[in-house]
Amino acid sequence: MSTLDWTVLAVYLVSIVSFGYWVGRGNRRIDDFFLAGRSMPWWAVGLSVMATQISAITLIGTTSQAYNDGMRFLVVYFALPFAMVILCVTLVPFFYRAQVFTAYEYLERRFDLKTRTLTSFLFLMQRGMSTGVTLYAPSLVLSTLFGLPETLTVLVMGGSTIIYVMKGGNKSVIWTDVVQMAVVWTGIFTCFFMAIHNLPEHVSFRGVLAIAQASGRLNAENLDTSLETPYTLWSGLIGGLFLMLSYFGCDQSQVQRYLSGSSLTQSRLSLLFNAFLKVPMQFIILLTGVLVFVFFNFHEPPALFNSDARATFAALNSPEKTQAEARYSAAFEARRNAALELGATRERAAADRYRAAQAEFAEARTNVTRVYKDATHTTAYNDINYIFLHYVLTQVPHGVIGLIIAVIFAAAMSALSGELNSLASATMIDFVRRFRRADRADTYDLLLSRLITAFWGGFACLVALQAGKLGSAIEVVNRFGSYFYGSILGVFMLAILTKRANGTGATLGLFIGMGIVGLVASFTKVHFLWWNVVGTVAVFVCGYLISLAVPSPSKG
Amino acid sequence: MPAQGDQNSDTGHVPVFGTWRNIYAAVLIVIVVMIAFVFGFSRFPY
Repeated sequence: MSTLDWTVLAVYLVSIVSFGYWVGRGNRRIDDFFLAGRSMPWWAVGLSVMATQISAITLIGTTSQAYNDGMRFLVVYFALPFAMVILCVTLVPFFYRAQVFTAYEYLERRFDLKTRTLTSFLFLMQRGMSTGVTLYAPSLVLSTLFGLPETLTVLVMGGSTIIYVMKGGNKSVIWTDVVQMAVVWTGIFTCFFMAIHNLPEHVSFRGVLAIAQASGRLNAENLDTSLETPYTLWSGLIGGLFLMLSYFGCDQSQVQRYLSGSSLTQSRLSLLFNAFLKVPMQFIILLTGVLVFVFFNFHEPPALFNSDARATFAALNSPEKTQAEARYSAAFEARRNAALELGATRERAAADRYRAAQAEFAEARTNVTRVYKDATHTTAYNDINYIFLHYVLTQVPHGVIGLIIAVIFAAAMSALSGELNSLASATMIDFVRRFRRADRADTYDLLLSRLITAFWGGFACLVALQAGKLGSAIEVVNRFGSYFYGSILGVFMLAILTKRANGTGATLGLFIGMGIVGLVASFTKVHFLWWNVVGTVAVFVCGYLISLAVPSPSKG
Repeated sequence: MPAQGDQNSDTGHVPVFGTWRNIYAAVLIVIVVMIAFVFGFSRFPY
């Protein structure tokens, strides 16, 4: 990175922290701190909803996934507009009219205290650990590619976010999210146009798409009905619908955003704003990754995108390494020639020749990875998160590199800020205020809310700094989160769609549902998007039957 | 019943689209068109 890049990054960081601190002044009560005084316009809340969902690793991982695997990941978002309409008709009016702070508060009104406490506790556990991953994943990538110390990136991202979230709460979160989304979109469109600009002049855009199609990178349509096939239209529409309903309807990090709307109309419009924009936005991000793939058809990409692994591999001295490198370069040359022919002619025979060359190239790359893993005794090697940033670092002009790194920081900080504020609200509202015996002054509650925010921020930094050692523990927590999502939706469906369901049924149903999802995940190859359907249906059915068998003590 | 135009009701005015029914219909039409576009984009014989 050049001085210009560092300057761009520094200007972004100083500006966003100063702006977040300034805009967050004037909080008097915890309504102001957690719900921005219920005064936000729809467009600001809508951008904040979007910003909370996009983490840094989503941004660099999605483009890299498109490079490796094409656009099929897009189907996950097909259900989002349907989910938003359903939520606008059902849960959002319930939450808004109940004037709750947290989604789980509503469950006590409908069921009982234990249901609220359990769901809020599960949210805190899952989201608390995932904030660490929100920080750790981009830090790891940035430290590897740019030589930045991991501790520095974690502390800069985490520390600067904690400062403005502690000061201004949700008001600072939402307004900084607006600015950060502007930075992210500027970066995305810059990358998109840079990716087009960097393609060879003698290959038309239609030729570029022909190459992408022949390589299977435009594979967004898959009508396979198998539950094991990843990212089919059906898993996207049905499994994705349950995932989106759960994430936007039952996860406090999102619910808190739209509860800050100045009216029910503003809250609904903020979700529908996302319904209109999310799919086109993901389409642009994925297409950028595909264009980067086509670019590397004409410029030899490294076989190993992780720069540490590449340096280790370069230092190896063995006949296998020399052979693997020679095969890789030859395969690249053959694929480049086939791509040039296909780009120029767009004929079926040329597409067939290209596909054969692409298959050999992929095989040659796998061979290099195998030689590296054998030589270094590495069991798992995955460089998917390094692909896009390698492209940025090597193909994008200075200044723009700084902008893209600022985009990564913006995406990480916007996701983290929303998560910290929601963790603080669930802790303060569902535990501290719910279980203490006497009311306290607003100033005391405000101070305590800020300290809780600092605690969760510190916890996130600690998890991020220890994440390398906690590897398997984080995987367990993420897996647990996958079991949780569909199941929690089942509890809310019991609350809204039935009159006879009670707290005992909902609580036991939640445990049974999570257990069933765990069994499906462990003993079948059913794709994870379907787990959400399994969890929701299991909790709903089991919870309802248990409610019929075990009457609620309060009503009994 | 909430009054017409109430910002916390289901009958309040919705900017641009007029009613909630209209905006929900617009969202659903846009996503169906978007899915059709993505499928066409994937399969178009370039």
